[in-house]
Amino acid sequence: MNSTFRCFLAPKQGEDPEDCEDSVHPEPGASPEGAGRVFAVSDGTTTSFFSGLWARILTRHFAANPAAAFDLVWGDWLKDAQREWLTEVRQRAEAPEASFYTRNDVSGRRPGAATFLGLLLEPPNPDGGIPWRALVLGDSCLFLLGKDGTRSIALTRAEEFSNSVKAAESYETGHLHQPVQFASAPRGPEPALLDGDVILLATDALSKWLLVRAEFGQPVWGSVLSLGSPFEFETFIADARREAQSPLDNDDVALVVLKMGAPHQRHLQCRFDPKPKPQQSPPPAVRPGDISPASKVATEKPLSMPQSLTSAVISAASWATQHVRLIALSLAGLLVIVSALGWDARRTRRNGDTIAALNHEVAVRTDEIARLQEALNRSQRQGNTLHQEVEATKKATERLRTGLDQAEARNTALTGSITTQEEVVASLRTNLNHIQVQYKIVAGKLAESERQKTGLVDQLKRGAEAEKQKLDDAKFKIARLQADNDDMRKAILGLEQEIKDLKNAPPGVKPPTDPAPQTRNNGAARPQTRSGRRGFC
Amino acid sequence: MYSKLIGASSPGFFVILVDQSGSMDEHYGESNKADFAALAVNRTIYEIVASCRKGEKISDRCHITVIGYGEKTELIVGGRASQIEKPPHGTCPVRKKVSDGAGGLVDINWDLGIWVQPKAGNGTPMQDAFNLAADLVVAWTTENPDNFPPIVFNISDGAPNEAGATRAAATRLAGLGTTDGRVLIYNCHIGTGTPEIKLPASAAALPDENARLLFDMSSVIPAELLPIAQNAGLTPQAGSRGLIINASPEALTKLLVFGSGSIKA
Repeated sequence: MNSTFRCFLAPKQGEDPEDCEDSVHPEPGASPEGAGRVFAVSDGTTTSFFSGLWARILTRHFAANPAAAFDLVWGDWLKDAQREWLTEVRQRAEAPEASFYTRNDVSGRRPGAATFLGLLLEPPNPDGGIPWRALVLGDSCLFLLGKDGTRSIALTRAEEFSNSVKAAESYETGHLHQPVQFASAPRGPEPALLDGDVILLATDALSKWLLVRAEFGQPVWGSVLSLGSPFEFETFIADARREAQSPLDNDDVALVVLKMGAPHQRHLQCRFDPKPKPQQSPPPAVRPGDISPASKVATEKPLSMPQSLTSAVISAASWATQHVRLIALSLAGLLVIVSALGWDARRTRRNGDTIAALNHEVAVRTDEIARLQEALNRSQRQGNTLHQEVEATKKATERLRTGLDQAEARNTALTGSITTQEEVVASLRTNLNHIQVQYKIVAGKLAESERQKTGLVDQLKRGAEAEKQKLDDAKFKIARLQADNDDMRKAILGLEQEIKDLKNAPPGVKPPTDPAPQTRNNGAARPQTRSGRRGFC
Repeated sequence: MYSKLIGASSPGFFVILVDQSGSMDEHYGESNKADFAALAVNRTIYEIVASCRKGEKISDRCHITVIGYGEKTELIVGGRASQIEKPPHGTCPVRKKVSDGAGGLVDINWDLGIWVQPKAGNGTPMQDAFNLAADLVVAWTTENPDNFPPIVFNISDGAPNEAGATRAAATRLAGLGTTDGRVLIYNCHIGTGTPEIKLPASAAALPDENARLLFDMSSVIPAELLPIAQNAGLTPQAGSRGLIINASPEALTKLLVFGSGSIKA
């Protein structure tokens, strides 16, 4: 049973391959044939600290000594990897260009975190089956595609995936998550691998999507098994992310495809038929100074054709030169031979036939020389033509290069201009927002001051009316008091008159007993007030 | 719903509204409310930006905006993670306790970025802040119609100037969203009163009209996000709203950690 494997890695859409925080062992591009028996995937959690580095260290550490991961206590097995990670991040934090974020995170013991799935194949059983064992921590999954069906380990349904996941951390944090072990007999209940069986190791996003497809009755095992090149894998992932229904989450992806001989036909038949969204999302924005691989290809391709044409022209010119030399040498050699033979014939006159034959040969060779000379001339003309083409191509290439340089310069300038414009627009938008807010505040204050002004005017009016009323009342009181005063003055005058009368009265005349009522009853003596009331003060 | 991963090609949007009215000058914790609100917001921004980092590089996985309201309503912070990575007011050294990995805590030196400075003055124009946030959310969701929906935090200590206008503005904001869900609004009333009420599912136990207004303006925490709330040290139940009344400094921190936790999924 010949086993083969392929390993793949893809970053999130819109991110660079070096930013991928998933890791896979063996490295993508490793030989797909042969005795690979250790496989691993790890998913560095996106927001933890140097998690991509931690994921790579974990898979590398497992590959270096896989049996130890099963035999040692998990926390002890992690220690070497943790030391390696810590050494590296400390070096980065101590670098002069390190940001305060990195320094904080190192001094604050912020850990990197990563899920882990390691697979170890054992030597074959006598019956040909290949035993295996696996360690699973987190939501990376192992898929067994056997003769009788498929099985996933450790998560079995898409709904089991969540945002909260168990992971290995790059520090001892006191809450160590333990991996789960799975194995075939004799260590566990799983079946050993037989001819035609396949194992897939996948990180969370792809694992979830593979389960979703299977749950919808649209498994895609056959397409996964037929993946060959990194390009095919990238196309497959891009199509899956564009699906209209239940697309693949935009996350990093690591995948191992391990085949025990030719896969079972039932799985090969399950092909992925992409059904993308009607309106596909636009490509990610190009940042200043950022040229996508596609644009590089587009700009480099026109240059490759003139280069190959140049090579052809140079080859043709070289061929012509070489033939001219051969022809010249051949002509000189023949002339020497003919001269020598002719002189010998004249001297001996015994080899006339030979001379005739040689003369004939000379004639033939002369014709040949003439033909060769003509060919040489043609070659030279062709060479000249080719040379002219070379020169023309060189000039065209130069023009293309100049055009390309100008286009790149324009692109750079435009990108800078766009960035500036965007910044200006953002600044204007911010200013507009500020102005809107200020306008609302000022309008509110204006309305409030209008309200206050109206209130004050009303209040002043009311106050003035009250004061006027008080003034009227006071005037009325003064008039009343003056009236009372007049009454009193008249009463006093009356009383003074009575006193005078009493003093002047002759002795024995009895004064009246109650003169006051008489006086008061005299209406002419005391005028009534306007209100008809008296003495209220 | 609420399942779209936040990433460079589908960034998230965090909006923080900070009350900067005169009452924020009142004593709170070890200082005053304005100091603590600024500290909490700065820590939240730091954590969000740190979550966008890949080693020494930064990935624009989210946009962040901070709006202050008090003497005036203004944008204090705004932009992609890479644009606000460098704090405008520098850093200040703080002491921080971290786990030593052996069950204990150790003090470490730590540099905290300063994006927001404490401020306290004038009234509480909360309606202006909600309206400005809504304008920004409209623009953002137009450009990012399928992303994880924006999350809006509102940190305040008191009653808005105009309850009716504030309710209307919050209702408008809550009606916005993406194909992945409506905008999430989390309110935190910071205060020293009692009792402290965290993530209520009902308004029955709330002490006054202002608390009930904040309850009405707070989003029900989606079921998909309940595990993140639990990880942040909160104890939500079905129907819980993103609201804390009379929040202690610890509770405010937990709410901010929970709210910003979507970026860590």
